Amino acid sequence: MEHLVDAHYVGLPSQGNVYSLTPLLLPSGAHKIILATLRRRVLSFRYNFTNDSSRLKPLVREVHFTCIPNTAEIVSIDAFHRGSSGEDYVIGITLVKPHNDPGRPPEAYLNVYCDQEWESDNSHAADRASSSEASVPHVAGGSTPSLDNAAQNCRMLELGFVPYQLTHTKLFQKNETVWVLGGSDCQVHILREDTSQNCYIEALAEDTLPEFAEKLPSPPLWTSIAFTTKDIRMSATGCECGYLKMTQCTFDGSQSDITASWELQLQGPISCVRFFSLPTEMHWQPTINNIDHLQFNLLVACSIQPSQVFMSVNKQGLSNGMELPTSASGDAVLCGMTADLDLDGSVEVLLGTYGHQLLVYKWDSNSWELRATRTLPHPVHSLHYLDVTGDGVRELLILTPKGLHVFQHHLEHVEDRVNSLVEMLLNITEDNQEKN
Amino acid sequence: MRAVCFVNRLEFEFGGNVFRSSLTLGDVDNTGEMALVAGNASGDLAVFKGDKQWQILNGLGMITAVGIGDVLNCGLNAVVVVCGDGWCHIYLCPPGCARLECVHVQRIPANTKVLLLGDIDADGQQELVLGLTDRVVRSYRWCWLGEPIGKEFVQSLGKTTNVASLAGRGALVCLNKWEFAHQLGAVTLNHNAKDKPSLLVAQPGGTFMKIRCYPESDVTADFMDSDSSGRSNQFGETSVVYHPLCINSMRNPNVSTEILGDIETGHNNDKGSPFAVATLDGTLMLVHNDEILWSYQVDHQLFAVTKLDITGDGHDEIVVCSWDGQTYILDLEKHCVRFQLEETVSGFCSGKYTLEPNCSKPPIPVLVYATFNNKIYIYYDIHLPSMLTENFNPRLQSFMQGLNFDEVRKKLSASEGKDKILAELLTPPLTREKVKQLTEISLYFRKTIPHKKALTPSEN
Repeated sequence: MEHLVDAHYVGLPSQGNVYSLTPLLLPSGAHKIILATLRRRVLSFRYNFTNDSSRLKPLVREVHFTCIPNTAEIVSIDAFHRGSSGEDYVIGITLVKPHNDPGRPPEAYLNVYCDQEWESDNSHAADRASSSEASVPHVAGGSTPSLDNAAQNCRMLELGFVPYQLTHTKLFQKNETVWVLGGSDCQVHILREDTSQNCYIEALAEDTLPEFAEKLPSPPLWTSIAFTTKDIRMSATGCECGYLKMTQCTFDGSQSDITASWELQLQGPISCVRFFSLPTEMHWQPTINNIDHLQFNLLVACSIQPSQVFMSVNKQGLSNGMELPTSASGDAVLCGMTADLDLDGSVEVLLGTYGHQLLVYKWDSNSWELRATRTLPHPVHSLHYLDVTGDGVRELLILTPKGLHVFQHHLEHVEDRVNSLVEMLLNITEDNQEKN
Repeated sequence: MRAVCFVNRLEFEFGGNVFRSSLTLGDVDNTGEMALVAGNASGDLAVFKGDKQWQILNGLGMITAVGIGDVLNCGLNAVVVVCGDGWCHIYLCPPGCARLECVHVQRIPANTKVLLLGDIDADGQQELVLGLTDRVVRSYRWCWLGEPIGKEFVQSLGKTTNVASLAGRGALVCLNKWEFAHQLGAVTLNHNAKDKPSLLVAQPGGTFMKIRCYPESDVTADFMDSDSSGRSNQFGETSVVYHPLCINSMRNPNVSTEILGDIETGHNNDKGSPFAVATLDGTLMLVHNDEILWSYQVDHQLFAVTKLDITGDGHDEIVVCSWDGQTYILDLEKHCVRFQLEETVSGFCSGKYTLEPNCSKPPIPVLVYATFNNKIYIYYDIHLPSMLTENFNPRLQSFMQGLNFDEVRKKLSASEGKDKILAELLTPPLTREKVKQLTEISLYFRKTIPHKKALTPSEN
């Protein structure tokens, strides 16, 4: 924590919530941050950098999304990339619009924004190869007109429930990305694009993600999906009443089957669930073959009882829960994230509380220990650990109701780490050669 | 523009209106520990040390200006409190004493607005300079009746009886009076190339007067202007020179101006110190020898200019504050960092403050705000490693230059997947993309390679 430098602060015109930050991956490899606020204004933040200069200029801009009615409030926002590169973004925004008659439930919508020109460019790529090439926006650190184009191109879907968290996942069998949306009707909804009708429709969970077919006891607050191997998908959902459900599915071609499922009743709302892995030792672990040995853990942020990390969930299910000490003694925990703040190659667990605290936990051979805390001026709504400076080093982003904090690793500390790691790697390869 | 959000602060309850000049940081009790002194319009003077209120004095009248310095010229810091109705109080706390004691009260002309303690005539003695709302600047010097009293005597006095017995042993004597055509802003001292001081008095519209208070023989070319009006008196000659600063659009006579001299540049050049000029319409200028080095425009009403070394690199940063709490920190190269206090501000100062008294830790840089909500905030966790934000690329590139690529590549067997990718990345030319991937691999190498593109935590 002491190696983090306050790099930038973006003030918000009105407050957001725990679902109102989404990152977009730019072609440069840096991330752009989209921030939604309750009063319908959406800001984008990124760093402007040029090839010849390492100086970073923060750029904050308002993105004018169309089709957001005056009286509406933004609930959640999410975005993904279509295609492998470029700036073909799809942005989803959920809204609620209070009804004039206070007795009736509010109207709710999912607005999906994407640049349709890009779509047609790609679909007619064969016959329009030359023209589409010319229309590709420049991808350097400069402006990103594609987001503005997308923001003007809306497809609206009326929802029959109040939306909660909006996220997305890939259906690998069809190479299609679908929206996953928690609803007040105690269900996780799957929304997919109907290309023939040019609109979004609700898909049957049984056909796509069977783990979300069952009705939950209370509205799901957070859903997290992770792919532990090429054909195994883990998903976890935390509900308002403290119900936690985790499912393991195998998928093969178009077939997706539930192989195992676990459930647990905790106390109080579950504000966030996240899958993550800790490397067992400091070495390269990149290949698909050894991903099987990777141990997946599940961070469960609880607002009343202590938050927990369920260790090795892909092997042991929810049986091995480790409490995060003193995580319940502050105020309600609103968000959780994993980040390698000390750059030792192994992630720490971060929790953000309503009581303005950021808690940092470190795995110490058999338990989680509170290593650091940091006070922020406001409640912590959301935490992210992403590269926004475009140099490969990630930054810690903290969203509060008043603004977004960007904390950068102290560059001397990074240099120190890179130096020691490079030396270590070279020694390892040397050792290997000697053995050979 | 880069913005930061300082979080850690001390909060003191201090009611009443705090005037712009009645908030200052300094060594009040001569222990080397820096304290905050604040006075308000209802006559309360509070001294804050560490996280506590150290002393409060009441009933001083409408305090409009406070200064800390060796005004008695006895080697000990005293607190000078000037009231709008024309009373000047001097308080002293020699080392070993626990309280400020009043050593002198004197009637002076009313309507003091700004206060400066410093050596204005290069005689090694501290003078008191007061700026009045009726367009007058006066300078005073402390004179002892009879033999001057030294530090040792005052210290022994503090140990045995009471420093209050110093009352009546001396008085402030007015040396000079300068009248100006317009309302004055701040008064500051600036040293020229020969380390001679001159008094700068801000005038509306971003202009200022330069006053020299020492004999002509030492005058440098700087003061040889034909329109300079020299005048001699028994304390030496003075001259007043008007400096309009050549921005025509700035000559709005309704815009009040602040000025701050003797900004530390770090390099000991023989050209004198630069100074900063800020106006209420939001212009900040750095001026050196009448040449505007740069000017910076903001759309906030700037009312206070201070200097503080926030980066710890040996040169001062200029810190300006506006009435609505927007604070700009600029270094001498015009790199700017912004901080917003989300309250309106009645007084602002910056400087060094001792956070934990009695534990011999050096004082740290702080920003001090007096708000209209009866609170004083001291932001103490404000160190910035640098004014600019940079990314890691240049550092990695210079780090890589120390490596012998061929040798490194030889060590990596090109057959294996991971080494092959590494070897590819290490092949010149190093593009930004490669540098980024190398950094990513060396820091977070768990998932980076197989996917070619990094999995972001949000996708987990």
